Amino acid sequence: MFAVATQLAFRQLTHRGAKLAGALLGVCVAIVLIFTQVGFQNALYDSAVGIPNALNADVFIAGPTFHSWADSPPWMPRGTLYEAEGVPGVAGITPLYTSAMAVASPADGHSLSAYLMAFPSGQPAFLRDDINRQIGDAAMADRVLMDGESRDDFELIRDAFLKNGPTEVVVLNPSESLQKVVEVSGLFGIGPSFSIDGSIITSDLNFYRMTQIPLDRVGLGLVRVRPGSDAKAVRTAIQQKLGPRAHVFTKPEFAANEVRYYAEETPIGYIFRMGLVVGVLVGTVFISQALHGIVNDNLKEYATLRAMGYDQSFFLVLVTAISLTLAVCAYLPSTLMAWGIYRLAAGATKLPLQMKLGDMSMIFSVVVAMGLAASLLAIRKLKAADPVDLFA
Amino acid sequence: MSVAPLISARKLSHFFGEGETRTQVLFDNSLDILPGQLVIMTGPSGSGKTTLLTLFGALRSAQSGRLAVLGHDLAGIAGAALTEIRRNIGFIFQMHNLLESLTALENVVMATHLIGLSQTEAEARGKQLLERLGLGHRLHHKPCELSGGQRQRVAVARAMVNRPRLILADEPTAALDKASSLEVVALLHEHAEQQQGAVVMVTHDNRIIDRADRIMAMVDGRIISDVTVGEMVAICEFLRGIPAFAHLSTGELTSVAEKMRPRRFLDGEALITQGEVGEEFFLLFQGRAEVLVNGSQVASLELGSPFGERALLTGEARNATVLGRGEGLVYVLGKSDFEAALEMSPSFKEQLRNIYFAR
Repeated sequence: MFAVATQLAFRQLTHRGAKLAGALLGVCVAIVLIFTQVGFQNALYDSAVGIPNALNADVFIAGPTFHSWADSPPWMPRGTLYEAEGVPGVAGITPLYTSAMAVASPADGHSLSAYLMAFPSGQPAFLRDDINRQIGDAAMADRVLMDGESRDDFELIRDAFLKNGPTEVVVLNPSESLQKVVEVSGLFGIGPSFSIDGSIITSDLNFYRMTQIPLDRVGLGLVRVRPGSDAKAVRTAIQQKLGPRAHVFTKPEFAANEVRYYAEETPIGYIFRMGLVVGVLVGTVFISQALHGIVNDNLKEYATLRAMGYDQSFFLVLVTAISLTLAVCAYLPSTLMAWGIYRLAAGATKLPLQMKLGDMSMIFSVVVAMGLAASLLAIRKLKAADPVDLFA
Repeated sequence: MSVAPLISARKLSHFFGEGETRTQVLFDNSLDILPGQLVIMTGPSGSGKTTLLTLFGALRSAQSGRLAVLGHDLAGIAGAALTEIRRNIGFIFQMHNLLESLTALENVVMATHLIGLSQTEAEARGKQLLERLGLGHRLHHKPCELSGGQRQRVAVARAMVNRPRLILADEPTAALDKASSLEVVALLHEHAEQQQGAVVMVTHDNRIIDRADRIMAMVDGRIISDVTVGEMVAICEFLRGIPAFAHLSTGELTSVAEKMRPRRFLDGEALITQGEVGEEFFLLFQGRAEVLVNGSQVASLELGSPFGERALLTGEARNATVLGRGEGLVYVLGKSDFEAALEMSPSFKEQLRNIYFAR
């Protein structure tokens, strides 16, 4: 009976080509909506942890009031890091200086917000070759490296660098007397986030020259643990050593904290989560509507089958087969459409919008679940197929 | 030996609605539908015939009275149990209700999945039926490519393919021309005879009415007339042979015959007892009977013999006992109906009275 029900489902679906196309289109829109929400949400989280993941650290030490990397790390005394260096398992600690900054657009001089990171040139803070290779140049006075993937008019600076080599930019300060000209001596490629349009890296001394912030005020301590040591154990030991004067994270914990911050404490995280929920609900409604239309069209036929003696389990299989076929058939073109949207949005925003296998599997599961939910709703409608009504 | 009815209803009533809106649509209907019968139900719109048909089809639960279909008591059962019973019933709907996405043959085969027929056997049966119905060249056409009549014939084939013992049809010939209608009815009749089944058909189609074995008429939720056509013809012929009714017209004879009710008897059963007050007139329709006066047999009654009329005419007590011999069937006319029939032929009534009073 299962085979009979699925075959009939296929025949009923394909019998009315125009209606099938309309139903598929509706379901496709819903799936693309879900893909878009998931993609944007991932872009938010992935871009938020882009820089932390690129840092050469197994454990992070942050100040006592640290909330999030995205929330600009509060400074802490450099001496705190010296204390932590004595903890067993610690191979070395690099101070990372961070500050928001602004540079003048080469187009019209308007302010471009950027994120400045600095560290001693002899203690590479990043895992990236494109940064480590050029950090020697950036250690020269008033030289910086710029993220070539940065948004907005940073692209003009990048283009000028690629065309003419080292390019001067004006670092803006509230007081005009502190304005400074620095030279972009190289590019790297981490990419912006939702809150950072562009990133600039330089040495600790250049950091001081540009910001006048004393080098005793450290943003993060980047701890490398000795080979064979457990990062979690080292993190615990450092936390015990520093007590309430610091927040200590392993690298995965630090990344998870960033994701949690965006998901739970920012409006945009809330909006994307809501968007995903709305996408799933809209998707379920779209599939339900498509299924409802098909069931409505065939209601008399179902009543006839019921009169003949087909039982409820037959209709359950029939409607589920229609629903799942709709959902699964709509999935592939929707994935292609979503991939195109990702490419378009990634090009425009420089955000890491990628079609990930895990997301594809998750969304496929959600689509199947939506199909099943729609089937359950349609089964209720099927109860209206009363064979008594067939007798005029 | 009596044959078990395929449908047996006793005091069957039905109601629609609840509380103050509850309305009775069927009133104490009793009937037996026997194997081999093609039964036509007629009656004006709203007379309850479709409700009765849906009750026979296990599409509704029986509410009041007793209803047995194919040996299953339908009182108080619902849902899956009714569905199971429906698998043994063929349905033909006025609007054919074929599955639009399937071909004619596939529509017919769709019914066979319920009884686990092999695909080969199912298709062979389907083809045979569709060819018999003149659709051999339309096996692989979808309903939208068939005329109304062709669709209805596919629906007929679908109802018959599982060889059910009961087929219920709602205006099955409404979309057919006369030739097709007669062909369909002939096929259903043949099916009823071969399968020892029954076909119950709601119809207003006068073109097929003469093909019915039995015609039931309903008005206002009641069966007001239930005539077994073949028996009715035989009864009329027997009545015409009786002097009391010989002068009646065919219409008057039919009217009398319709008022006679069948009553089965067993071997040795007393149909009339000497000394009792006479209330009924009898016509021996099946089997034999013996007439006894004071315990001694004085005569034998054969097929078509009338008896019991003397006491009705004279008002005297029964002057003899009549015993059934073997199983048989008598048709019985009540005293008032008998007298009404005699009123139709007053001259004979007088002659008869004179003869009996002169004795």
